[in-house]
Amino acid sequence: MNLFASPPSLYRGLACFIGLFGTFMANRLPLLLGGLLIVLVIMGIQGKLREFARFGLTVLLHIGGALIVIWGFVRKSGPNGEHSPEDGVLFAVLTILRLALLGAIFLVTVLTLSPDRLSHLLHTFGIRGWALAGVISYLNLWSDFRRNIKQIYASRCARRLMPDRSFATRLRQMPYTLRTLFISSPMYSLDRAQTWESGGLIHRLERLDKRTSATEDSFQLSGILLLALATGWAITTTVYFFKSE
Amino acid sequence: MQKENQDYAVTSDNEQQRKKVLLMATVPIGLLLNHAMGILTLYLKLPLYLDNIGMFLVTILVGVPAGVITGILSSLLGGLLINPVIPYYTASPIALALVAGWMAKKGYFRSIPRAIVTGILLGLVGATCNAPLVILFSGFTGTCTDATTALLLANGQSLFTSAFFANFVNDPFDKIIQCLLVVWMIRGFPKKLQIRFANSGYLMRNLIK
Repeated sequence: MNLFASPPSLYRGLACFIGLFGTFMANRLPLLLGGLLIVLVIMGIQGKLREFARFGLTVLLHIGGALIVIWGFVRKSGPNGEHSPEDGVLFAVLTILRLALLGAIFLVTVLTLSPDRLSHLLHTFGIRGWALAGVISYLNLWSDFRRNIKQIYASRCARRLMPDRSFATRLRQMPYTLRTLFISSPMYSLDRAQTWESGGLIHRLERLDKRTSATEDSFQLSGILLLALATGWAITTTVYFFKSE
Repeated sequence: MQKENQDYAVTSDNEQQRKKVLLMATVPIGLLLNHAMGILTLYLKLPLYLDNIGMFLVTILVGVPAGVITGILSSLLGGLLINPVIPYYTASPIALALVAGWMAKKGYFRSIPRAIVTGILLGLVGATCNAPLVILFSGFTGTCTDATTALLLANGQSLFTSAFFANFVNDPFDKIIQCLLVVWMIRGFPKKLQIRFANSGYLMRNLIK
């Protein structure tokens, strides 16, 4: 049985908040390393390691590099006046690990949700009615946006305003594309919202949500386990935080 | 009398429905604009954020509450989709939507000089809200202020001074550009679209007659 495959939405949300609180309280290297290791194991079970690697490469790597260079080699001290390069590097590593954990906790608890479960999670935390419809609409807008961009390029090519579709040409055409896109998007969006409203989407969304919660096939046990891990993490880091104070 | 009341109820229902439609239409567009520009600046490492542009647009089109909702949702979803650090900056878009709404009400998105004034004010508000949080992340958040913070830290300034000053340098520039882009966008709105937003936010006050 895959324990972390599909915990219920509410447990995920709570585990996320508690886990984030624990991460902010964590101020020791072994604690942060241990926490990250546990989250990485869960991520491995969920098959989300690739996404985390992408986050590491795009966000963490350059922040980490900058932090280590500035605090370890330029300032050669920590922020509280400790005068050794080791303290600077330690401070930088602590910050990187904290950021890594923040990202990893989001990934494990929330980003493994399927779109209908995400609507359930948002609903649980009070985002309902048109606001929920707005979020769902936003999550589906990206594909519309890409399609609109293609349409703009096609029409500009047809009117001979764009010689070809190479990357350089598309980059040069960006201001025209963006303006057309930004002006046409509210138009499309208004029409879509009107259709949704007249088609009773919000009521249907409420019904879908009730059905989702009623037939949720998630394992209660996995939710409890996730919540227990997050709570344990938060308690441990809080105890160590006050001990070091 | 009864008929009059019934008519009023129908009008009020229609008005509510119209507002709902406007919110359902503009909030996702605001979120999309915020995140599209945020992702662009994050990956191109541009010295700007540009991630409030959608929120400013929604504030002008539908009003302050819609702008605040867009700002909050944008921060929360930005944490999930772009950078997990973003949700901790939620206070900033709330303050920015309030100020942008106030400026839009006074017609400060009507011309380029006015938009620059709005940008400076919004920049100062944003910097004040953001600086304490940058300190929480040791001065580095993977955003455009990192370079300025690093430069100041390298020159021996304290973390507090570096983070605070870096925000006050970058934010006004960023917000001026965003305000100018918003002016450019609303000026390009076709008549048909202008009419649909005529009674909701502050669009008409910010269009040159």
